[in-house]
Amino acid sequence: MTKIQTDKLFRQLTRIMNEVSQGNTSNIETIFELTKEGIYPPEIVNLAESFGMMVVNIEAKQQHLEQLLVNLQEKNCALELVSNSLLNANIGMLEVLGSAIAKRDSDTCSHNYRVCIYAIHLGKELGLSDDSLRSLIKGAFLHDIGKIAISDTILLKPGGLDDQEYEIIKTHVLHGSEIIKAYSWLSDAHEVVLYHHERFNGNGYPDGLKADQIPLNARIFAICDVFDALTSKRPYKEPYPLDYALRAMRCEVGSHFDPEIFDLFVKNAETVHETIARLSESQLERLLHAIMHDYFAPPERNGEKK
Amino acid sequence: MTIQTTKESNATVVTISGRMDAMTAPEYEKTLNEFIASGETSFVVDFQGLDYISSAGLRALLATAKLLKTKGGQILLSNVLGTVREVFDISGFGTIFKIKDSVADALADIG
Repeated sequence: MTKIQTDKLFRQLTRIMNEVSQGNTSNIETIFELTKEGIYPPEIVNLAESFGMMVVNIEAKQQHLEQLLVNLQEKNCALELVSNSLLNANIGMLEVLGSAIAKRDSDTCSHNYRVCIYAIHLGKELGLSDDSLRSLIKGAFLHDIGKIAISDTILLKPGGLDDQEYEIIKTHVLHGSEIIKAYSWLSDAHEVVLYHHERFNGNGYPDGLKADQIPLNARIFAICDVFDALTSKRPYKEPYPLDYALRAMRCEVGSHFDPEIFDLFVKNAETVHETIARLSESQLERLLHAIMHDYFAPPERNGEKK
Repeated sequence: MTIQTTKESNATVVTISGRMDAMTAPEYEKTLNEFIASGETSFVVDFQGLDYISSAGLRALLATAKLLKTKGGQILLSNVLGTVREVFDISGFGTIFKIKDSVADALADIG
């Protein structure tokens, strides 16, 4: 091979190396063609082989990375399944615990279901973050879980309680807070569980917190809890009509309820009440179950709700 | 380079000897591609008699492995020795290919 031919091959190889360095691999096969010993001059073959080895190294690493990515995606899918089943287990436990305590002093879980739905609506109206909404839902579900520690003779006593018995009933918020603190997934229900009997003017229990000192979720829940107690049937009373219940509650705005939250609640009370007041226990359960899965679904697939 | 193929019960064993470079690599690729096209998915490529592998040879191995991956198949190497082994270690091919000490080990691994 003449010097001119060799120079031409050298220039060709140099050009391709420049192309490859800029990401253009269309002539990459030529590099490997030029590694053929006996056909091309040794200085060209050696250069082409070095460069060819570099290309293969990069391609091998790329192929390795692609494989790792596939493996990672497979593992991720498996993890997602595990995480979903854990979530379902947690939600199931929340529902079961809530129902267990509801059955303690009531025939049905309907009150528990309804207060959750009211609380979700009101929380959304207030623009709570998804995290806060989830805490609110857990708190609503478990608000009276501490009643499990109150004896039947006091909890189920017909007629009024004396002062001493009332003091014992009041401890249910402390018991409740203690119970849920033991499990991290439930511990954010604490604000509602501990403070849902606080009053806006500071006359509530257990700590006599006032106004903004009372956690927002507890102020939201207190309204929903009282509203449902008034508008639903109890062993000792028929349901009060909506407008009567709202008027009765209005009298306690500023003393019991947060004025701003109450105004927002009243705006939508009729619509929400109409939607759910007549639903049976099992209908409520299904509705709430669907809402829960919506709110507790993994955030990467769900995104923040507006 | 010479290529011999033997059909075992769970894989096709491909024995390569001589030099695997830009001149001979196409023959390797052609042989393997034909087996893959006919439905074979498991291969043991034995390098016992391989004296030298160039960048073009490595590239052919890579291409076959990639094609096989898309078909859910696998390729194991055996007897990767001496200078060939050095090239493998330098190029990082050792992490991409399963390498066994002998054909029997490789066949046992495929199971």
